[in-house]
Amino acid sequence: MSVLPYRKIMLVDDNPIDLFLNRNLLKKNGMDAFFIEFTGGGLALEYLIDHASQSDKLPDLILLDIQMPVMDGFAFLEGFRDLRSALAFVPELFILSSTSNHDDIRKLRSDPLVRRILKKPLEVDLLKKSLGIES
Amino acid sequence: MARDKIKVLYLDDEVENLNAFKAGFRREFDVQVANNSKEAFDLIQTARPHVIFSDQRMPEMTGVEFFNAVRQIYPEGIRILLTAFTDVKDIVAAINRGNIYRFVSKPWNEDELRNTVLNAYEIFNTRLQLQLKVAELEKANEDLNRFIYSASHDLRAPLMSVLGLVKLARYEEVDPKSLEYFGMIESSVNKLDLFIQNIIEYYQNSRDLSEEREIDFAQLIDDILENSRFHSSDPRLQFHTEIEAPGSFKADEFRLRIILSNLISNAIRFQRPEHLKPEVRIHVKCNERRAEISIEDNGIGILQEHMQNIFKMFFKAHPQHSGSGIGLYIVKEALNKVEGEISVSSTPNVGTRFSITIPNRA
Repeated sequence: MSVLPYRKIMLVDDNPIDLFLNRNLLKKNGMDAFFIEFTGGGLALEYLIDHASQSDKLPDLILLDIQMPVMDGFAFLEGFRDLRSALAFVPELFILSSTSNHDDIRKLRSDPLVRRILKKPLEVDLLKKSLGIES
Repeated sequence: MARDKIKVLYLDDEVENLNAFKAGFRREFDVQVANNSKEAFDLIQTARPHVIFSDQRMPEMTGVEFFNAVRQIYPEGIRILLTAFTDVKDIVAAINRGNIYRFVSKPWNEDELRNTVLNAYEIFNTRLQLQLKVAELEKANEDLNRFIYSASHDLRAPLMSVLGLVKLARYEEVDPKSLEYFGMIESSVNKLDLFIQNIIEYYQNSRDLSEEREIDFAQLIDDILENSRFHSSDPRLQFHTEIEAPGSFKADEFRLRIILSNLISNAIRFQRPEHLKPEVRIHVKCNERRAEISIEDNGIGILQEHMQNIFKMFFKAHPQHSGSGIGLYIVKEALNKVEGEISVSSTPNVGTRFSITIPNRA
């Protein structure tokens, strides 16, 4: 297990290949953690609701995809916004998406819940830099 | 077959007029009559008449006032005033404001009135067709936008997975041959991704929508440099960015982004692989009238004979390179939309410098 402050990382992405990929890119780049993975915004939100008061179950960090069927990243963010005050602590949230849609990016950038927008494929160094972790 | 007849409503406070109107036109048209405005409003709501006649002089309100109100609730109906008084100022004003299609003088001539109804109905129909076409077109545009939005995601997302998987595979693989193949896969995927992004930019630029915003050049250029399409670029590459923007600068952000990202992407991609100090210099200088931006590289340059063609669609000065052949074409198109200008100077094996000016909309 890593000594990093981010021991539990939630990955939300509708593509299982990307879940596998992001988990492994994080592991290979010194961010091994306990991974909590979901293929949709709804399932991820449900998990957070179910474990809202259990700080040992909540992720320290969330990497969220945007374009997903059923519940997309924007809908997840709305749910997360309402849920925030009920959480034992609020995880850091990053967007990890291949979107090149400027309207989406502008919307995400002005959202105070979003720490940063990362583009796929994941550059773990950029994530670390944002979190203030030495590479 | 009452449904196929032209529906006509006539409002008049004099019952004899209503009866005469009915008698004259009931066989040809689907005629409804009202002798007060309340009744007329009810009939408008239920029957949606194509053509509405009204007397001007009535006790509770004038015909002009009636039509002003009708226009608010049912603008589609063609409104015609029937009056014996043709010199009234407010009638003329109402016609000029478009509240009344025309007026017919009383007593009416039956043939003239029949023609008036037929003409009015034609206008009603033409407007209706036009409205339907506009709605159809709006829907088609919306569908196309939605299609582009999801197509761009569905095309690009798997490509980014491939790039990620190659990245991951690099950690496992040490065989130099395989590593070389990985590099080729990456550059092919990047080439395809650039092409997809250019196609989308071309489409978005061709639409006339434009939204002017305050531009933060530092942020914009940072964004562009961070864009995934440059991930595989040479680590030796140095960027020098200098921005002088003392006041407010407003422009169409989307098009400015298209212009800068394509020029910067070119400056990065057309480097000389053997060069020890590849560089890209970006210089922005704004004043209250315009921004002058230059993007300069010390790359392979452009041959003099190609200079006049570089802004043409699908022209490639360096066919072996990973260009889409539409980047500079899109730059030119986007500059046309923002009323900007571009000039270029280049020396083969020394470098290229693009200079653009964009008017300040602040």
